[in-house]
Amino acid sequence: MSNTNEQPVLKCENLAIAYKVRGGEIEAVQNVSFEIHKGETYGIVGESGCGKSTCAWAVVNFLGSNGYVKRGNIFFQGQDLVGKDGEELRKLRGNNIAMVYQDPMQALNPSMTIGDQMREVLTVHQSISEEEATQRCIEMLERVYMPDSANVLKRFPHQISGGQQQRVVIATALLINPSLLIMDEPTTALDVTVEAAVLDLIDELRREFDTAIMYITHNLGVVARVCDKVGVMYAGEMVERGTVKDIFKNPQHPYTQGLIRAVPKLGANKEGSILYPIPGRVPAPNARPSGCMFAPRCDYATDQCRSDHPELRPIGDSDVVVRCHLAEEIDASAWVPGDNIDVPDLTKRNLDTEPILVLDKLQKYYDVRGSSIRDALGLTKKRYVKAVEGATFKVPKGSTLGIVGESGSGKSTLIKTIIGLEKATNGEAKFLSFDVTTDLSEREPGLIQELQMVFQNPDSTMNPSYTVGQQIGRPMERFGTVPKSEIRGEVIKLLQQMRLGENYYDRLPRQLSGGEKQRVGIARALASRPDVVLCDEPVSALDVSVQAAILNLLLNVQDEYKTTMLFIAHDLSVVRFFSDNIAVMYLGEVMEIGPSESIYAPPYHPYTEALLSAVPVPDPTAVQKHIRLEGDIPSAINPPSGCRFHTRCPRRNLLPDNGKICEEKIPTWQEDADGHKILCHIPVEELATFDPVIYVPEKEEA
Amino acid sequence: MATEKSKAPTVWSNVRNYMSLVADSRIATIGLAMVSFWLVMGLLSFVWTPQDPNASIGIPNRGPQEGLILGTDRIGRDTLSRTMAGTQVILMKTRVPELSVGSYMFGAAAFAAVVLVLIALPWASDKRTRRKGILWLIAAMFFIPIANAISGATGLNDIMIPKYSIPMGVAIWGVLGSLTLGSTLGLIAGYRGGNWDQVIMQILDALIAFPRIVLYLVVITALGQGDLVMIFAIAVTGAPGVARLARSQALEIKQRDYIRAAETRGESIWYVMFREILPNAIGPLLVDAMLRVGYAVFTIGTLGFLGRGLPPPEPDWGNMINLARPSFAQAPLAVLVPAFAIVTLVVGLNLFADGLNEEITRYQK
Repeated sequence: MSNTNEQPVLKCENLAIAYKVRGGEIEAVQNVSFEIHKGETYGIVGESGCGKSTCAWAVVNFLGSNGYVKRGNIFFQGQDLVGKDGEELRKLRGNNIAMVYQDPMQALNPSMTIGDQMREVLTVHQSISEEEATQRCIEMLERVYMPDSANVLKRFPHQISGGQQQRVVIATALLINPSLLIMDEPTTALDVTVEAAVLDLIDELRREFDTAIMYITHNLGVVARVCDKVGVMYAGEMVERGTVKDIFKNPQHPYTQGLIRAVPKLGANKEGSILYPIPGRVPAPNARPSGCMFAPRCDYATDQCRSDHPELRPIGDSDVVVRCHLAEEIDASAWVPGDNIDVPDLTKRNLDTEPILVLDKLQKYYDVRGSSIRDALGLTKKRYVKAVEGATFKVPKGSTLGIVGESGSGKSTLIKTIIGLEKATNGEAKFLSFDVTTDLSEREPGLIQELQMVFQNPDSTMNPSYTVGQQIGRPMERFGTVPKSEIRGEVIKLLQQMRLGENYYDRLPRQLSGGEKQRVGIARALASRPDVVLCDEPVSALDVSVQAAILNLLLNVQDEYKTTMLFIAHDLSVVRFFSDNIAVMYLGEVMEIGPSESIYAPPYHPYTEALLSAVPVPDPTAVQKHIRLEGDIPSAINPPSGCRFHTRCPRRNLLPDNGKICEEKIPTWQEDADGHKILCHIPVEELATFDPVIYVPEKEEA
Repeated sequence: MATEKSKAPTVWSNVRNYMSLVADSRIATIGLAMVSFWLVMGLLSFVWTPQDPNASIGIPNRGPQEGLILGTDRIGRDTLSRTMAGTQVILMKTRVPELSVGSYMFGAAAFAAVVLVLIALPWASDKRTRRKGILWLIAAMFFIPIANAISGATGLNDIMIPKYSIPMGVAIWGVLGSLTLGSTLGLIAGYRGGNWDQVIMQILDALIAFPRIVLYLVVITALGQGDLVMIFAIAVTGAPGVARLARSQALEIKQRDYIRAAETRGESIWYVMFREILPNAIGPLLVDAMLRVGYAVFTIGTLGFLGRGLPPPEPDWGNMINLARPSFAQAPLAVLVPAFAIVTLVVGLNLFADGLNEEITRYQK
């Protein structure tokens, strides 16, 4: 860590940024001050719409034609950037500031080779010859651990994987040896295992280079892993600022406290993984309260909070500054959830053992159709994408099965097959006594009605042309579950269960927030009174404070309707307190399945172990095992022989002959007492001797 | 009913939204003003024109003079009055000629057959309703022969119905026709994909590849000059373009989760295409339709100029230009005024559509 007396690389003072819009102006960001020093990683966290990215764009003067810095200063190495003309700024930025964006596929030009794009950075801003530039690019790619870097330069972006693309973007950003590197959610679009590797890289860069990093993210786990200091933003303001250790150990602002409670923890026990939402939502920039921005959602708000706007002030003798009138009086550890928060009941539910859904060796292959004449004539060998292979499990009535895996693991295909959007290729699937290997066109309406789905993307889950009431009412009308005259009443009842009032009935989707749309999506799925609801990552596109509310809502709904749920998630932290059973999938195959708690403790499947160690934990004190998978998920057209995981398995060296058997033989299921099954050659007794992946040293365990 | 009650305000608010969008765009406002000018002129011409548009009242081929502000054409008719009245056949009214009951039956049978094909095609493309769809498609083939047989046997061909007019002009009916035809075919192609997409789009592409004006001339030569024939020609030639647009919209919209939701409810292909996809694709389709009205006006003008346009006696801009062409040197206004009318109406429609499109896309992103 560097000396604080030194001149900061970036210093924002009372920054206010406004956008001109139809009929006025919106102050997206106000009163933001922070400084980033050499070799320091500064995290900026907050929900969407809090102005994090706007701050970054202001630094690089990227606000668009209608945005401008209204007040305050941005000092970069002592020079004020506000008011500088375009050419001067361009030179300054080009040589000293670099930016890494969220989606690497959009940051890279698909029609240029990676080499051309990287070289351009050097040849445009510095007079460097092509050969030398190529040499520098190769060196930089090697520093970000890109395998086969000389060859990568000749490839196009679509020819390398997402994680590698992000490495290229980071390497490109580092080429000019910037004094300031701005990263705007650089890992949000990546899989957990890839994210973990990229975070390792960023962490290492922080130590190796003297670059100051401004790291924007909504994920507190990521902040805990890579940042030194953190600024929490809410509704366009910075509400708390301090070192990562202080903020996580002793958050002062009620918003920071709420955020930490809303994030999945993946700690040592199940209770720790309950999520508490923050009620309400971030106010729109044109409807911000006059007092404290957070007062309407705050449990501690007093009249003073509602009338006086608090200023940032230091607390005690620590480095923490906070924008709260009551910071000294609030005791976060004494917090109990208010009446407006649904808290799920974690007592073990009495589950029917009778299975409602039984899959036996279910298989889904997609044809790969070539476009050559030989393919058209059927002369080539038929090829398949083996999306789901031999899925075998039972789902007890009224329980929740969490399905976890990276993208490409076949979890979405699996539930699409169960619900009938796809026709199973082989195997058996039974819902009660009905065959569900067929697709929807062959199913009876009575069967269709019993299986419904909740979708991932709140923005596309509702048809923009119809009101909330029409969309929830449609399944009732279609399946005739409710007489026509009673539909309105029934819809309103459902809306109230979703904690949405009757006044939502006539609203259009564009008038709803993401969380509200997702609630409507859930209501629509429940409208036909289905026995099974399949949820495809229903919270992954939502803000953390809303995520928690939706998950708790789903749990309560399940309690009330005795619905069976299949719940897809891409990492293991979300499904924990939520699922009765969890299945871990890799490359189309279920690797491990069992009661939820048994998944989080040894014996682990080596893949589960790797997944757990990749999840960012929002607790800087937690000790997490460091397991990183090598390489990428293999192609599902030609999956590895034997155990599908053998190409990346970090544990195969435990077997004789460095796991030769893994390549040759498909492993058999090893089952222990409570129905916990693992698909691995390593004996379950040996797997049980592994240390737990996550270990929290102090109090938390008590 | 609850659903109706909640739907009404949304339609109205949509209209209001569009109006405020028009007001926001200078281009759209100018376009709307130009189009409105001709709408007003056309409406006015029904009740009042300076002179009788079809009467020869002045000295032929003269410039502006007392009572004849824009001069006369080569048989002494008032150019201004004729130009005003020229809006009628394009935008205001369609003339149905004197036809026998048998012809009406033939027309009705042909129309019903087309509608039936449009309804049955989506059914045929869906596994669940394929049998029904194919049966209806086969049934549609018999409509015209049956109608002909009935009218032939009963002597209905001899009973004539006198001519009359229906509201809305040739250009508008033609575009509505291509909108119906094109969007249905485009939605099937886009939503169903696969072989349906291939076959439908190949056929429509072949139609596009055919020289447009030749196609018009072939249709008109085969069926004779007339408003209804012109509508048919415009509808058929416009359909492939509409279909392409509808298909691209469907391709994008079918990716959305609410389409998955409809599918997992087991909704019929009709419901998915017309209730889930179409309402969200209608904006671009309407903007495109406005442009198409402009093209149609242009086409009518061109065909009128070639002497194959709308039949007399009502004035038709293209035909006016054609008739005044030989004496352009003596009476240029008789050519220039109707030409100006075509230009302003077409450009107005274009500006309006472009401006509206720009505003819609700006606020949707």
